[in-house]
Amino acid sequence: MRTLTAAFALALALAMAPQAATAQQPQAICPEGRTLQGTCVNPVLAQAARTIANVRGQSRLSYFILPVLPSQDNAARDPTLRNLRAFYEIDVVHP
Amino acid sequence: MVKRYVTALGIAAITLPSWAVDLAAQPVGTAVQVSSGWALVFDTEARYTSWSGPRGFPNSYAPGTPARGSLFHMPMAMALTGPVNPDLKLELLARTGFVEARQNAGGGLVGSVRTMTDTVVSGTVTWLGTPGIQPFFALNANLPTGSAYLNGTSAFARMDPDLVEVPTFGEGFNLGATLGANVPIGENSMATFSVSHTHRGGFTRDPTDIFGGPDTRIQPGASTSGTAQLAHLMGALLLRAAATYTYTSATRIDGGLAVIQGDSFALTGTAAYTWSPEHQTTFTAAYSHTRSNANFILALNQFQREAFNSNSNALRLRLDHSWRVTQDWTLGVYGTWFNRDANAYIPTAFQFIPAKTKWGLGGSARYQLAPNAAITGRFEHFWVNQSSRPDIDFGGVIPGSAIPALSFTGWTVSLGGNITF
Repeated sequence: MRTLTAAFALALALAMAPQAATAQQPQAICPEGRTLQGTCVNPVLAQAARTIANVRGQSRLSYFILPVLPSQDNAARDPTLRNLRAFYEIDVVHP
Repeated sequence: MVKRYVTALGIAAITLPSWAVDLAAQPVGTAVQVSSGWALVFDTEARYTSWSGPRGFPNSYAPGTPARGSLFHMPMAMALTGPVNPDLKLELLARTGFVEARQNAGGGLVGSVRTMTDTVVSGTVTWLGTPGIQPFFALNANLPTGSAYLNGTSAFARMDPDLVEVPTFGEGFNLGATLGANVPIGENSMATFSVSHTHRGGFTRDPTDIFGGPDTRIQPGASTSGTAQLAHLMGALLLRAAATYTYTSATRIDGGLAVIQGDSFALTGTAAYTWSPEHQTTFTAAYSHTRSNANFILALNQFQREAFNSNSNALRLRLDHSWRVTQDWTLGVYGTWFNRDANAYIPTAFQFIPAKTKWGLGGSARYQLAPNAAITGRFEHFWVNQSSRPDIDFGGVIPGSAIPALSFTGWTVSLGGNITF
């Protein structure tokens, strides 16, 4: 009986060992959240999408300053978003 | 002036290296172990543009020939990004700058200005706690730290926005908000939907009439827009498309209703292919169409849509290629083509705007100083061709009002960088 109890206890300890080891590991963090399937969202896709939404949605925020870092201007600037008639507001000679 | 800016370029390079966004970065589904997760970035660039052509700006001023201009612009920014808690991400940005502009054309069209630019501050919060959707809210403000009012001949420092990056030097307090959500579709695709609204504050500027007159109080109309995006990663190929619709409320000038700018629709598509870990090519096409404006007719006390569309369609194509030569050095080349077609008015009408095309050819070199710091230098040469406009004729011809075909050329050089803590 004592042998069976010891054997059971040993088996239980061995069965619990992987879970115990796992519980000690830090949980993986997804910097941009998770998909419905539970995998991590691609952080580059997510960050780029937010930047584009901000830049395109608020194209009237400033005539020439974008809400991005200067090093991102070259990639983020879109001259087709510039409304020429907005410069009706700043022309030297009022048309 | 050039010597002073060469020094500034050097200081920018030594102090603050640059940083580029790499769209073909992390494999999908990778979990990232982070410690605190916060990052602080300092980023600045020193940019110098020089152009020359047969006429100054505005082109309608016939004695303004020949013409040349220059612009030194040094934007600087700080960004702080990190998790407030595991489910909430915060991104903060503050950006300002310094600009010095000069235009020198015949007929007295000479002006210069030296000023701080306006300051943009931005804050974005993103909720990460719900699998399958990540909503975000961004609040941006343009603080009027620049110079909207230019005294005397300094007003002639305002140059063609197709030739220089900074066409004006200040406006009012603007406040914009964007509410949106990223919706990941599986591991390789993402849809994003957002709505934005920008309130634009009033500002007083120098008289719009070069022959003198009272100051002008501008109250720009607010704008509201909706944007939809779709991105898909297929192995080494990244595809992205974005569509934006914007409508604007009435602009007032000196308290009176003036104009409602036409609604605009803008579409952009990007394809980026990573040939190898060292080589990546990106192609971007962007198009916009703007409806006719509605002008306020005082006699009728109402807005009336203009008979012809005074706005133009615009199309831009851009091709980039980057080459990581070594672990520390990355080179890039790019070409751009931009076209704005003539507006719908007949060529002899007062409101006619002729077609314009801009070509650009440039290159860049990026050096990774340290794992958290880099420097980037860029050079671009550009050519601008504008079609002609005949004498204005509204029953009687205005002699001398014609504008011949104009060709401009110029170049831009920049040096900057950033550092991340």
